[in-house]
Amino acid sequence: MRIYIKHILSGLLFAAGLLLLLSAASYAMIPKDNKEEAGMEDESANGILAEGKNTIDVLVVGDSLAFCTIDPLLIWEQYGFTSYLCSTPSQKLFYTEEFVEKAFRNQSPKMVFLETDALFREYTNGAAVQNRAERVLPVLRYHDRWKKMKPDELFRQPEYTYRSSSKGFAYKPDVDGIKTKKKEVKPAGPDDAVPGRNRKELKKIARVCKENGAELILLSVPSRKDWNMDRHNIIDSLARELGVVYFDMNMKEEEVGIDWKTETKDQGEHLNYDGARKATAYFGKYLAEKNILTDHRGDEAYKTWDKDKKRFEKEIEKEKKKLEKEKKKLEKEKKKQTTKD
Amino acid sequence: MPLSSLFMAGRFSQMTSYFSLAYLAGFLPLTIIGYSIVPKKMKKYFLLLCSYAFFWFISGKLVVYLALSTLSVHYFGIWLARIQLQRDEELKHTEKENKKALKKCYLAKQRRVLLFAAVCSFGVLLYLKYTRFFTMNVNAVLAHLHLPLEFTIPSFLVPVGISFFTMQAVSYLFDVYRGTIEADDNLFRLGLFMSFFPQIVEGPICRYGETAGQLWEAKGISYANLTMGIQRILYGFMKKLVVADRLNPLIQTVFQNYTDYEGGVIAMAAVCYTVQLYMDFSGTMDAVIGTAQIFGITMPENFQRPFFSRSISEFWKRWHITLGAWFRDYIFYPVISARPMKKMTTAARKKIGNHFGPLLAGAVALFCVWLCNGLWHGAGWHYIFFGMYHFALILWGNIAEPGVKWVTGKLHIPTGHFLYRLFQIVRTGILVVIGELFFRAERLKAGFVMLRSMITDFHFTTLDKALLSKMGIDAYDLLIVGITLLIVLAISILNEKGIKIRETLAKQPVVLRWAVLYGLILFIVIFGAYGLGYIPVDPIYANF
Amino acid sequence: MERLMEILEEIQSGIDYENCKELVSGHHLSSLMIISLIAELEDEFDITIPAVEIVPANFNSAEAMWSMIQRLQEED
Repeated sequence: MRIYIKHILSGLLFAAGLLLLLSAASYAMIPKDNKEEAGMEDESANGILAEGKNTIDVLVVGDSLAFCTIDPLLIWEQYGFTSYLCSTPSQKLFYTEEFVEKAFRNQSPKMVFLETDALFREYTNGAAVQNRAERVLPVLRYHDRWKKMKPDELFRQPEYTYRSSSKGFAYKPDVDGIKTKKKEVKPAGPDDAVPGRNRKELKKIARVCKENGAELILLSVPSRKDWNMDRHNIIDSLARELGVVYFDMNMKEEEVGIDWKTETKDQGEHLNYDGARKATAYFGKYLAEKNILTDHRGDEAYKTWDKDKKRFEKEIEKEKKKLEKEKKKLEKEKKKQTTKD
Repeated sequence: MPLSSLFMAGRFSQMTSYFSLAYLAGFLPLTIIGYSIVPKKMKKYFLLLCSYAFFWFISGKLVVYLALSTLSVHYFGIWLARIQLQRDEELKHTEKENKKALKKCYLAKQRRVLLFAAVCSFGVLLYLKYTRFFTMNVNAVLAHLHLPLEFTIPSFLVPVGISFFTMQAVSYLFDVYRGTIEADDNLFRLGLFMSFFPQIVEGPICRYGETAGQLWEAKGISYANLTMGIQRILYGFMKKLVVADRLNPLIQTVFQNYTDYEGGVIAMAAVCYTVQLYMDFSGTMDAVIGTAQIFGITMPENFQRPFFSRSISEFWKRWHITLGAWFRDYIFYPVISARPMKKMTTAARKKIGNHFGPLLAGAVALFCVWLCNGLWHGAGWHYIFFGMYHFALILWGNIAEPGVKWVTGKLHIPTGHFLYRLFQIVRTGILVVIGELFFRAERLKAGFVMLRSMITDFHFTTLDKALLSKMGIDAYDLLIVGITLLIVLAISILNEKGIKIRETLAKQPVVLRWAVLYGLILFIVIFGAYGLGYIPVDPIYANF
Repeated sequence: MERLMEILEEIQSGIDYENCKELVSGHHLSSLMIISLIAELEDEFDITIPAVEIVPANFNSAEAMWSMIQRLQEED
């Protein structure tokens, strides 16, 4: 028996030592900046790490539907509220939860919006376990950085310097409208269900928000391809169950006024920039009506927001010019082809 | 058929290999803990239960194949045993001069049962794995003859590991027939032998006499076995995660778009594939044998540092050993000791001498072995070619042997010299790489095109950063693969010299022991090719 | 036993069959020679050497071969 106990003890000691070592390796390997070239994933969403402490009042999490729809700088221009999008392509809910927790570390948003499309996304148990493990021991996520690391990075605390000028929003000017006149939404299917794992994760997000004094609001942004009445009803009852508000912009078609012929970039799934401006205007009004947010315009501490706005506008201009140039080039080539023929 | 669809049969598709998180962090530890908690008497049943659970997790309903196979083999074994019993009874009451005839009669009876059982076992395997290939070829012939006839190409869900447990089943029956083991009257013991979870997916192919008894004894878990088993698993991990998975993008890209690359790059990819195959398969075997060791089971080794071989025939005695041994015992020897073969040998020996006399019979047996070997790996002409390639090489080795001896003797080449041995090792390696090239090639024709470009267009002119990144890797990847291979080489040399590393390590002070283990784990964690941007290789041998 | 020695000499001369205990494991007899040997032994001693018996242990020394032959003769 004694030898048995001795073996168990030495096993535990070994495991403890291993944990310590892996933690040390994690400290060494985590990106020392939130830039992509420093090894950070999802740069624009992680840009929130470099925002000033407690300057973000509204956090939006979710998948691409969020970052194609909500334009924080427009809200800033119209109402002076500060918002940030921690949304990533095909976001899985454990990752959503990670961003919510991450955001609360340095920010104290009064409202957290969760775009509901992510609630329907399936993933394996293994992926969720892996995410937890990576959060405890970041070396598991960032181990590959050995390829690009400078030696002095090993022992340094991270310093986050990358700020997304668009606050996580993605500028998508392309137009690919819906051709049919009929109003068609996503056909009902077996994927119109919130997996049990996601329910659990959502409850956790709700708890974290509550603990940090933020209101969680479920948000469905305008989309024809990712929304239908079944989904609305499911989220609606889920919101009641959790005691949170459900804000479905699809139920306000008239008020939002999206023109699906010209204001979507992929035939009804995501909005393009024009659509996003309309939807954001409506979203901003909704925020204003809540009457709990402060207008920070003119506040010295928020000067950077005006700068960021100018920066973003310049970026858009540049993008537009680039696109025009490409368009012209294409037309020229077409002409050449036709004359040749 | 993509391998993933094969695994989707089960509900826990993420438990696809012995290196998956679900297996390592879930199934295995739970099984180990459960095994050490249940009372001694129940341990074996617990192990059987876990094995079936494992099979069900990855294959779902297809677990019936395993169960039915076990049931039928159990039944046939008992049938054979009863015939033997009957024979022995009758022999007691028979005059001496009649004994021989009686024995012969019973042998024929047994042989019929064995044949029937083998046809049943292999029938299922052949039906599931080769019908598709067969129909496709029949259709091709029909199309060639312009016959307006076409069969629909069927596709089946093939249970994981069927090629492996079928081999075990048939070897069990053969051994009962030959009288080297007694038929098992205990269905559960036989069931555990057939289904033991660490080996069910990729082998090694065990013999009943080797593992069934050990498994059924179900000793507890000892500290020494636990630590040594874990060490072995970690070593396998290093091979698989750091080398096999890291090389994957390069191999996949080049083998898929082989026409885009010059010969030098193709040669590099071919070498990488052979390395990957070895690291993947032998790494998995390390994990399998290590896992078995945790439960106190000694499994037969499947690899014995094959790349130190000096000839192809030696290579195959050191690579996938249990498969080679199976073919040797159940195909090569039976064919060679068949009556007409022996007669042929005796006659030929008198005419063409001692060396070439037995070659004819040997060649026939060898041909059978390598045809089966090729087909066993899969339904496809390139697999058959792979078999024939090795058949030709080994046969040539035998034919040329006296000639080589004569030449080296005449030229006074010191055949024992290190450099000559190195030459042989390198030559064997090159031949193996070519064989594995066909093995991996998408189809037979692709293999030939690649081989031709390797020979006629051997340049590395385009090998630069851009090309590497096109193949999905970079110089750092190659560097770390190189370092890891050097570690493996060093360990292999030590093993070759008979030094048992884990035993030696166990004698060292605890600080050193732990430092080595910590180092190994950190090495795998940091340099392993897993996580974002990496797709692990499907376990290569699981779909054979 | 004498006859066995003669056969062995005939198949491959120049090996110390009296004393060598690792004819197979020591690579003195190749697999092809074993094939010849089996055919020859079966003829000479009127036995059948089944595939089961073809293991290194039975062919590693002249003595081992002899005992196998005797065993098979008795069984017949």
